[in-house]
Parts: sequence; C-alpha cells; structure tokens
Amino acid sequence: MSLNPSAMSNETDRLEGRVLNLLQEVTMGHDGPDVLSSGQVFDVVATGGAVRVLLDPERIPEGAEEALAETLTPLVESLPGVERVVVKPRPRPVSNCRELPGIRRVVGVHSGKGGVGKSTLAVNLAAALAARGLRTGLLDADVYGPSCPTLLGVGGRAETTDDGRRIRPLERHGVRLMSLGLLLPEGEALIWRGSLVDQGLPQLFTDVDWGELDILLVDLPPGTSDVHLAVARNAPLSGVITVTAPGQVSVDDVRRGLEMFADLMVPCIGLIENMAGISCRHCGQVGDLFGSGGGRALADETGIPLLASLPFVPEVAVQGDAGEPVVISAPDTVAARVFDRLAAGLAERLFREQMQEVEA
Amino acid sequence: MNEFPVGVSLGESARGGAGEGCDPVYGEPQRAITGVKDVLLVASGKGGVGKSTVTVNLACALSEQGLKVGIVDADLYGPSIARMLGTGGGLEWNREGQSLPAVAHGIPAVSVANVLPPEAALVWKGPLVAQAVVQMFHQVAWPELDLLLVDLPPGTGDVQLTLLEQIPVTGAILVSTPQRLAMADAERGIALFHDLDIPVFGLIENMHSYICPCCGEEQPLFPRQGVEALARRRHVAYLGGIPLEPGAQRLADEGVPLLKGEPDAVASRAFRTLAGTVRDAVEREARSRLRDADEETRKAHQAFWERLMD
Repeated sequence: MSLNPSAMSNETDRLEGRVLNLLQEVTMGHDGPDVLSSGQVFDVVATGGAVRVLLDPERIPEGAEEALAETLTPLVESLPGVERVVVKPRPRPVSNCRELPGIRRVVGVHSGKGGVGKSTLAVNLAAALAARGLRTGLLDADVYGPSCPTLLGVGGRAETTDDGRRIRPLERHGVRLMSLGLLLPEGEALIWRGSLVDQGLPQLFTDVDWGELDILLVDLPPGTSDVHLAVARNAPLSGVITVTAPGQVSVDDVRRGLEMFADLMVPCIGLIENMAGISCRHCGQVGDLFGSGGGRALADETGIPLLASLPFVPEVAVQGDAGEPVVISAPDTVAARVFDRLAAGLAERLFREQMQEVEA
Repeated sequence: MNEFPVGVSLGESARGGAGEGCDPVYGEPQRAITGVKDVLLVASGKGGVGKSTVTVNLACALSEQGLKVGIVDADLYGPSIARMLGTGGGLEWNREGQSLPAVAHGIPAVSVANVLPPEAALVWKGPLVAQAVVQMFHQVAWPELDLLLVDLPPGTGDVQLTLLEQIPVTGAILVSTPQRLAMADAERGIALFHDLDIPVFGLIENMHSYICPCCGEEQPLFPRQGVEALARRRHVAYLGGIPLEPGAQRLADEGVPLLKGEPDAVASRAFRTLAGTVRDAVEREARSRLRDADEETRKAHQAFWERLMD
C-alpha cells in the first residue's frame, strides 16, 4: 500500500483529508479507477496552507504526467484553506545505505530551530531507553555545536580500538556516545565546509565501533543543511522526532524541517513541544516563555501526532549542565516521567515494527 | 534574486563541489557595500539563544537614538527576522533591477524569508549559500545607513566563513545564555573571530532570568555559570544581562519588537543601554580605522612604538 496510513484517517476537517476526498473523485480516463486507488497520486502532504501532491510516475502513462498536474493544481487550489499547491513526482529515498551492520534502528532527533531542547531530549531519551534494557547508541551529529558530551557527562577524548582502525564510543548511563566534541579540543572553532561534511559525517556511522545496538539516536543540528542530507544518505533513518518551541518563530522553522524530511522520504514519528511555559517559584503562576499552542496547532495541521508538551523546568537545565540527565538523577520529576513515557512509546513502536518484519 | 531558491538537490549536483577554487564569487574580496558605513555581526555559537531577538531590538534601540540602521537576516536555515519585524511577502524592485529592502518600524531589512515561501525546505550546498549571502548585501538598494546589523546563523559554518571573507565587517557581538553549553559554543565563536582578526565588541547574556508577570519574582532559568567570567577569560567586554520577557514571544510572533510593544519593560531598558555601548564601540573602531588610514598618524604611531622598543 503506497498511501501514508495517517493520511487515510477519517478526519475530514483536516486539510489533507479534504484533499484526499477530492482526489477520490478524479479519474484519468473516463471509466478508470480514481487517481488515488490507482496509485497515480502517491501521497498528499499538507503543512500549513501549502499542499504537495506527490505523483507516482511509474503508474502514470508516459507523457500524461504534466496534463495530470495541470488538472490537479487548480482543483486543489479551489479548496478553502489552500494557499499554494505543488504537484510533483514522488521523491525517492536518498539513503544509499540499507542497513548499518549491528544496528537495528536509526532514529533522528531534529528541530528546525536551535535551542529548543533537541539535545536535552535526545540525551534523556537515550538514557531512558538504555534504562529499559535496550542497547542504545547516541550520535551527536551537531557538528557546529556538539552538546551531547556535556549533557551526558562524558569528558575527554575518544580513543581508537585496539587494532587502531576504528573509534571506540564512550559509554555513560548505558548509552554509547560518539560526538565531534569528543574528537576536538574544547574552545576551538570547528569550521567545516559543506564538502567536508560529506566526507566526515559518514565516518561517524561506519568508523565508530558501535557494536550491537537496538537503537541509534542521531542528534541532528538545527535547520536544514548539508548535515541532514548527509545523515539521510548515510544511515537508514526509520524516522525523526521533531522538537519545537510553542512560538510561531520556531514553528516556521520546524515546518521547513518537516518539508525537507518529506522530500528525503524520512517519516516524522511525532512532534514534541518543549519550553511550553514555566511556573513561578514564588507564586506558582504558569507563564509563557516562548508563546503557546504552536505545537498543538502544527500537529493539527500536519496530522503528525503531538507526543508530549513539556514545560520549561530549570532543574532539567541544571542537571544537563552537570552531565546528569534527569531521567537518571531525578526519575520522579514530571520531566523525567515524560521522557520515560516517550522512551516506552518509542521502544514499543520499534518492537512492533520488528515483529511485523519477522512475520513478513 | 529569484534564481537562488533551490529545492532539495539530489544526485550528482549535490555531491561535493563546495570547494573554494571552483566558486566565482570568491574572486572579489571585501567590496564595500554602497551606502553602508559600518557592518556589525550579531553571532552566537548555539542556536535559540535569542540572536534574532537581540538583533531586532538592538536595531530599534539604535534607531531611537538617531542612527540609521538596517538588518540583513543571514540565517538561511532559519530566518526569523521577517516574522519578528512583521515584513512578510516579497521584496519590491527598483528600475536597476535591485531589490528594495522591506521597511518596518523604520528599519530596512532583507531576509531570506522575504524571497522564499516559509515552507520551502532549504538544503543548500556551500557555493549556493555563498552566492545568496553576497547577493543580500550587494544586490540590494540599501538606503544611506550608519550601521548594518547582520543576524548570523548559529555555529561556524559556510555562511559565517563566506561573510567574513567577502564583506567588510567592522566588528561582532556575541549572544549567549548562561548555560554551560551555550557558553562553550560562544567561546568557539569568539575564537573564530579572533582567529580572523575581527574585533569582538562584547558578549551579551540573554535569558539571564525570568520575571513572573504575576508577582514580579525574578528567577534564573539556567544555572548561573558566569557569562561574565567567560568574557573576562577571553578578553572581551561583558555587555550585560537581558531578562526573558514572557510577552516578547507573543509580540515577536505578531511582528512587533519588544522595544516598540512594551517600551518600559526591563528588557527594553536593557536593550537601550546595550545600544549605547555598541554605538560607542563602533565609533571607537571607526576612529581607529581613520587613524590607520592616515599616513602621518600611522608613521607617528610606528615611531612611538619603535622608540618604546629601543
């Protein structure tokens, strides 16, 4: 089945659903099947008012693609709430790597915007997964501002394996970590031209002695850059978890990120809204730090599930700077429980996928 | 400028090719920007520390003090200036085919968000980035400006390098939050500027605390680890702390800078003080440049040092 199952839900009030309903009535011949059930339209992705209709060129008669695009564009544009329509061929997976030896799943943690707590989430999620008995790796792919070593409390430099051919990841709280921060002296500017990223990044997957892993989390840099492309190429990403702050400024950037991953054929597993409010230590009043409601609105627009909405907890930042993830150092706090629940959901999802693979 | 919105380029074209030699835009180093006196970079090592917010409010504060200020949003991977100033949509063009900056709150600004739809995923490779950045300076009809603020993307990547190579920069200020992580990244930023001989005018401590809108209690958001100490260690000026205003994000989302929306807020006052300091630093730098340019003063200066050495 080529259609994204989430797009098949019955929520007709969602834009994606409405576009799909419309397309069900479009046929290419006079009496053929509609463009959806024939697979001629591969998928519909709506982010905000922008709708992208992805065609499957293999199922469309030669030369008819352009005509189909010309028919669909005004039709979809006529729907209320649609601002812009792009009809284009479906993207192909860019990964030139079907699997990494010994690693069962690779999941990215991403955000369009910097400083929304991506690395904090990645580290706590990794520690929680490891605490649940999964063999967990964490690759800090934020080449310009590697933070995972500090957050996980790993210092020093990485060393090579005994045979001198690979780099050994450092381990703490049951998480195997590799980061450029462990390969570079502190306080030095890392200047990587795009071409260097293309060469250096694949090595972090292949030349690191990860061993057997159930899951490898990849902490991606903010934005949409060379690094993302290189990761999508060199690792079989099962999906990404997207982190956003509640403000529009952040949601704008996150949308760009979602678009990019859609183009790279990497599914978004879910959204996490972070820094949603802070409670005053004096009067307990909950105030907004960075606006409110952006994560929920984005989830409603895109149909991507909102996995959690986390308040700003100064304790999490304090423990992060000290290299003690809250899931380990303060497991009874609200934040730690949220991280643990996320880990449980992710673990279950991966397990389910594995069962399906075994059955198939 | 319409030629650079490039979608995800896959396949051969996207592989490699980001070397310096093959790129024609590297040929012309540091051409002055027509109409612009000084260029000030606003940088941070880490993302999300409030660089864009500082840029916008600093620009407003400087323009209140009578300076003509413009903004270039060079954060290609997450441009927020257009949203924060409320200048959506495209740019207009003049008869020479140059784009005109969008003006809001008396500040002319050019941002990638002006020329690209917000949903366009940008995966740009090195040479394209270089071209886009330089275009934003040279192919825009800037009015006469005292100061052009440049909102840099976080980190030390292609955009920063290209800018430092090609644009005559007067100096830079860095923004950091009091987190250990942000400070480590800011330190990398300072190192980069020092390596390239670009004056660092100082370090701003943003999100220094949170003031409860209900009871006025001021509480720290991040552990206080001493941005001031970092500034001292790296021999740059500490430009002061700016508290996080809960209302600022809502205003920013609506395109109103805090300084205009809540002119009496604690943070707004902090921005005004900051503007004064920045202005002094830029003027000082301009004076020393003038001195260096004058043959006789330079000779006298040199003679003085030689005497001292003897």
